[in-house]
Amino acid sequence: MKFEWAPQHQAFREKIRAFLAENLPADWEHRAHHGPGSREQTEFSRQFCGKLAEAGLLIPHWPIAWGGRGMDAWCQIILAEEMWQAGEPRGAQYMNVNWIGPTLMRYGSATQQARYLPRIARGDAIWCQGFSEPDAGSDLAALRTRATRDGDIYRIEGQKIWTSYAGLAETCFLLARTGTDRKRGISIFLVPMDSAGIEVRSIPSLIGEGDIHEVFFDGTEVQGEALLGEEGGAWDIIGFSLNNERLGIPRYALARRALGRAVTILQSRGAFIGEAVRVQASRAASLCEAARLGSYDIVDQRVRGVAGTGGASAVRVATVMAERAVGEFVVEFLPDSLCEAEPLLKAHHQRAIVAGIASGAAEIQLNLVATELLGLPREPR
Amino acid sequence: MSIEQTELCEAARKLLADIATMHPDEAWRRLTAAGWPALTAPEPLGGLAQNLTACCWLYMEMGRVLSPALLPASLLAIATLTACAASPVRDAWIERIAGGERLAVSLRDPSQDFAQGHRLRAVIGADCAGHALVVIAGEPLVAVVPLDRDVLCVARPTWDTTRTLFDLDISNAHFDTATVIARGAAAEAALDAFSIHLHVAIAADCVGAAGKILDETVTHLKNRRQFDRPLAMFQALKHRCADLKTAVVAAEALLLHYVADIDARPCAEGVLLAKGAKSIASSAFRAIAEDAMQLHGGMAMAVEHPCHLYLKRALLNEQLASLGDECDIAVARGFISSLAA
Repeated sequence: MKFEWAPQHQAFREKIRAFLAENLPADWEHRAHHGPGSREQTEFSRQFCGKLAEAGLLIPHWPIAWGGRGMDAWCQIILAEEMWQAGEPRGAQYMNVNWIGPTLMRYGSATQQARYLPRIARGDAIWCQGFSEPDAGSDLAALRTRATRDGDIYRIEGQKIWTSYAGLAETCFLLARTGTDRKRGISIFLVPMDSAGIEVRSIPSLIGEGDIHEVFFDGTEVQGEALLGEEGGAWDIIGFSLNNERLGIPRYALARRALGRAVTILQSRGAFIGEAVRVQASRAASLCEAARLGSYDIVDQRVRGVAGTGGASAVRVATVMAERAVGEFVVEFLPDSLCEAEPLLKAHHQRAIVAGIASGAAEIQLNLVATELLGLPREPR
Repeated sequence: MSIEQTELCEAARKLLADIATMHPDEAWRRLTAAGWPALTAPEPLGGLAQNLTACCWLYMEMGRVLSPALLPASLLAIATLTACAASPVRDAWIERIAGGERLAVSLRDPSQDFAQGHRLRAVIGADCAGHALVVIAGEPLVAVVPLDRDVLCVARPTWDTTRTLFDLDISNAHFDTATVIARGAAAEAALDAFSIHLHVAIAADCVGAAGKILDETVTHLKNRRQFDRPLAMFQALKHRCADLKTAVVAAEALLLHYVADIDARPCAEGVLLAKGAKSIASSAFRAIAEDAMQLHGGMAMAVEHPCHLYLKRALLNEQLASLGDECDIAVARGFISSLAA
């Protein structure tokens, strides 16, 4: 089967590229290297996403009723590829448009929708995702942050960790325990980050400034209307959210761009000669291409309304492999770029190191490949 | 493990822990007082006349704690000078170095950097030494030159911050009777001695550091509970750790046996043995440091966790001495010519 873009999809990609060419500053690559969680990039994303919204490129895949243009999942992945490849100038806001918005459309109350969706659609909202805890990482259902109902309010106690964008977000999409059942005892709260009793501490990290945080909730009170959906309904809701985000970020696109840059530099130094460097570059390029085409299969399934069979997990792992192969290529053949000289390559290499960690451990995806794709039995619990 | 090794390693571990937070000058005074820079120098020149195996043990301990100490520079210089013919200049330098005077020394194999001309790359100690050891492969030449205004010194930024590296331009340095220790055929053996010691030093650093970060990883898997059990209970993770342990054990066995061979009968193949050990050890260290990051999960992303320091040292170690490919090609050539013989 030969994959080809339809003319309208090609035109859509061209439009995004033209927009990026016009709206990214000349020194963007140096700014982007601080990571999407940096203050500088978050501030930049507010202006940038505002302009994207005006150009109809922020939420084109949203339904027309919510200000979108009802475009298909192909357009969503084209948008995601072009943005990630450009160093994600949307900063934290990619989460809003990819899954927080759609989740609110499906499960939010009219009040919640009216309060949050227009701001997301304008490109002016920063959210953080309060999922992981010190003792609940891969095992998310072990989370212990508790929300206790007290009349009209909930009182929240607990701690989140590795929270991206928490330092600058206005709202947290928070998972907290309202009951004792492992999964059915978890609820979602939309918590204003300026509520009393929230403390955010930045964790200096390998992958960029302001990227990850600890968030402490000490008797934080939220109104009953902060509850999203029903009490105890979190597991189904995040199932929907993550399904929306099944492919995750098309990281292969940036990996491919970094590889192209690395090869160009080697060529300019007259060092892209000999079998070893060429074989490794081709192998890395093939892995990027495999991740890309695998992702397209998943998009195709979604467009045609076919149920997923665990293939999305395999594609996520394939994407990690592609990122690592490019990271490895950079380390082997351009080790000096790990210093400041080539921010794109440095940033890619650092991201490749955490590719199998940062958005959920790759081992969990491997479990899904084993159980859903191969039909192997689950680990005894 | 012989008793001497156990004793030496325990003492080394304790001393390295003591000096870990000291100013580098103070730390060096402590190492000097313990006789470390004198370890291999001949006894008449104030040394302890120990062999390469003993150096290996110390380097492994230093690797475990990612020590920034300049011991490799001193022991490299002494190995090189000892392989030159005795002369008053040579003997004086061995005595000074064994007594604790620090020297700037390149951690790249001179035969690999021949094309770079009169430039020493990846030099340690240039920020505190008064002189630099110069080993040039093409001419060949061994000299100790003053780090004065004739030598251009540029700091070399590295992602790894456990060592500080410099590049030295020595094209204007003076090579005369005051500085040159050996030249021409007389310098060949010294060149080999330098190369052997350098590859062994980096290989041992890799083996020590790889063992330590693997220990840390195993401890983490035993302590970290998810899904109501320690992560260590997952067989897939156990097998990964077992694979990594196998790589450390293999690299260490190769290194210590090769070094014992070199100690027993210094021979022309010594350079090849050292390169073979370095290639295996540095690729094992890198693989282990990379997987240690993954096995530590989110914690590995936090700067306060030492995981990333091991990864950075592993990536730098691959670049030091000779690259893995350079080592492998040399070893392959040796292997092929041994078949022909």
